Amino acid sequence: MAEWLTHVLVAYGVFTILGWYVDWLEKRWVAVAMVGSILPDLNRLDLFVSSEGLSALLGVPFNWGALHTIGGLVVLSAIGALLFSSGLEQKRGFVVLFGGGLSHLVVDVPQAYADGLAVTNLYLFPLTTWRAPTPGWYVSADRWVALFALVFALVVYAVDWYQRAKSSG
Amino acid sequence: MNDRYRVVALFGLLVLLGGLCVWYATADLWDHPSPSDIADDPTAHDGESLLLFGDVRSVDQNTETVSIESGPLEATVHGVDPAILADLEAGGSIQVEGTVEGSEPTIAAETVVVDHRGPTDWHYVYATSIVGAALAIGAFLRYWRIDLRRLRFEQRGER
Repeated sequence: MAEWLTHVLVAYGVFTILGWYVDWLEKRWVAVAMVGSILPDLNRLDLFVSSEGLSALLGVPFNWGALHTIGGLVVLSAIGALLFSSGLEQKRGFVVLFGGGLSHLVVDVPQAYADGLAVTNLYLFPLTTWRAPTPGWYVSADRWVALFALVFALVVYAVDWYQRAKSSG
Repeated sequence: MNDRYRVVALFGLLVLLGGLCVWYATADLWDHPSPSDIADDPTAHDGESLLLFGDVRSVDQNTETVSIESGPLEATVHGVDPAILADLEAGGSIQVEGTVEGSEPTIAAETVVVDHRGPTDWHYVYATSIVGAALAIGAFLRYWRIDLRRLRFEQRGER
């Protein structure tokens, strides 16, 4: 898993670009996508309330890892969407939270794994246990990843600023 | 949707999310033995290959072995490239593709990927993650207000 700075900056860049083509995708929704990009890593709740502890407490197996999956993301996005006020905001909220979370999972796929296969068997739960090949581009502690995301976000920010300046003046 | 229905729907979704966590915990998502399978009965898995994610407990440069912990499993990994060992510290984390050996248990490594070389790498990941979270929350609160009483987000500058 990449760190959150990378995920948030990638979501900012991707959704700002999408906003150039989708009228309603204003900055307020880009901000929601940035929050969405963190949703899958809510599995880190494990650091505060361990899966093992909850399993013992509940008497059934429990694993926070489900939050870092496509199935978990759908439910988390629906929960987040319900917190918006109007029906239209809730629909947009769901799309943008899910999109932000999806960008997180996509960024996580090409990491290095010792057997050369990505852990899409986990990310795609409960759809399939298929493991895609991975190019093995990075591990989460590689410093260049956040730097790359920062450059990407800054370029998008500059182009976005330039376009707005041009259209308003 | 009025607020009462919304709270009921939120509760239902939280229950669904909990159910998903239980389902995930019981699902068989790997085609190799899990750390708890090996911890329960190492000899039963002798010779089986696996991909293991483990926290590094200690590194022994002399015997060229790494002691790791993966859930309930404590194992010794041998056959690790000395160049990897030289960079690795207790508190780091690695992935091992290899074969289960004997009853100890030990893992004969074929390929090792270092996720975190030691505590410094973890500190980097946590520090950048805090910056990322602050950025996302800051951007969100710039455009949205949280109405805790009605449990909902409202656009800033609108009533």
